Amino acid sequence: MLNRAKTALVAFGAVLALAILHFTGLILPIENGLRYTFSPVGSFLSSMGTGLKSKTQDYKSLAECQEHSSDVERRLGTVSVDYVRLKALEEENSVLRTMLGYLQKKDFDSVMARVISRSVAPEKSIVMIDRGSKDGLEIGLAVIVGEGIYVGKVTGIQEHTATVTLIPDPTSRVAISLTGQHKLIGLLEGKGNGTAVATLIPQEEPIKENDILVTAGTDEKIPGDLAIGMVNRIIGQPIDPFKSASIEPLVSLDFVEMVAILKPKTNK
Amino acid sequence: MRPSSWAMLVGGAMAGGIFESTFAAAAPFPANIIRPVLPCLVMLVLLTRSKPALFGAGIAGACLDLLSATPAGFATARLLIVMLCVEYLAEHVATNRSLFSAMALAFFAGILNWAFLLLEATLGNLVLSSHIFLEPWSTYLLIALANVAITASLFLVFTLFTKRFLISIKTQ
Repeated sequence: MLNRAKTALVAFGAVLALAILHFTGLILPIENGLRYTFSPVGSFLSSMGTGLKSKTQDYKSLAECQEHSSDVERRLGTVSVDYVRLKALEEENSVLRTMLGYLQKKDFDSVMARVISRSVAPEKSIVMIDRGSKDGLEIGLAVIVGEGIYVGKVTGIQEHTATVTLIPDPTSRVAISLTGQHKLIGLLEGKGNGTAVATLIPQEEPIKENDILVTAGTDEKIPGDLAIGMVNRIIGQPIDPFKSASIEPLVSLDFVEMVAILKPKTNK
Repeated sequence: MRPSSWAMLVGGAMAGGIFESTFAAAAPFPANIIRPVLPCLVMLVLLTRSKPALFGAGIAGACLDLLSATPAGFATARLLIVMLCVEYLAEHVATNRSLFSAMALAFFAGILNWAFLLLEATLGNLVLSSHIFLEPWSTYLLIALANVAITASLFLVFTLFTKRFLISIKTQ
């Protein structure tokens, strides 16, 4: 009995000491070192879990596949028209820039990172990545996948790891714009469980279904014109001062394994 | 325990903690309910009693705290308390080291772990203004049942290698 009390006391003491050392930040270097050491195994296991999830979620019923296919075809028709128009504008823009001797400057560098772990709770959309302050990351930087699809921003930072809050997380907020408009039209808010809603859109804004939303560029560390998602449905009455829109992400955020963090270029 | 056994314990606890915080968080159902830490610690309590199980709980909990994307709710302390309770039960209630005792202890450990998480989440919201996010209660129930299945499997495997679970009958 005395032995048990002694063991419990030692365990309690160890926990208390650990808690004090953690909150005072005295063991932060050890914590960072351990996170750094475990991150390769963590990202491998996380990637295995994500792979398993993507494989199992591929199985859909025939009716679901047909419905999805017709939906995609309908959207493709709308987007194709926009694409052709934008392609023509892009070519014209490129010719004009060459004629003017305009040198396009990119103000952002990117840092590639792997996802180490994810939040367990379904309403949260937070991932941990294997890059941190040592790699020049800061809180608020934009996180993208593919060729500039915005997926979230850095909200927590350690020496070798960082926490990224993805678009559907209820704490996520980002200023949005319509493609090619370069002006703030509203705010994209995460609603949990993989969903997000664009809010505070003035009634006069000509937003409609299948429009692509991009970042507005008004956030300090988030560049503009990063694709965010497609408008699924407009919510609100014409008499309301503002309208909302439910947004469908352009990539499935459950399966993101590799991301790039955009950090402002440092002038030397 | 021999030094090699302690080394294996440290390695195993680390692997368990990393597995739970990374693979289980990303995997789909039913792979996401496979949480090996508690069943392994329960088996350790049955095999060796106190110290190694508490040591393993501390290490696995620390790995969970370090690698979880959202706050894991001081898993180190939670697992240590759960293991202290399990050890007490193993010594005073489920004393016979049978398969059914092991299964009952594993289920109890799963439910107790959930209860402490719930308490942490409530206190976190009320007192500390910090949020610990919980999975749905049905997931925790399934995890507790999965704990029972894993413990039963481990128990059966251990019976192939050890005689600790056999009833000793002295014959004249």
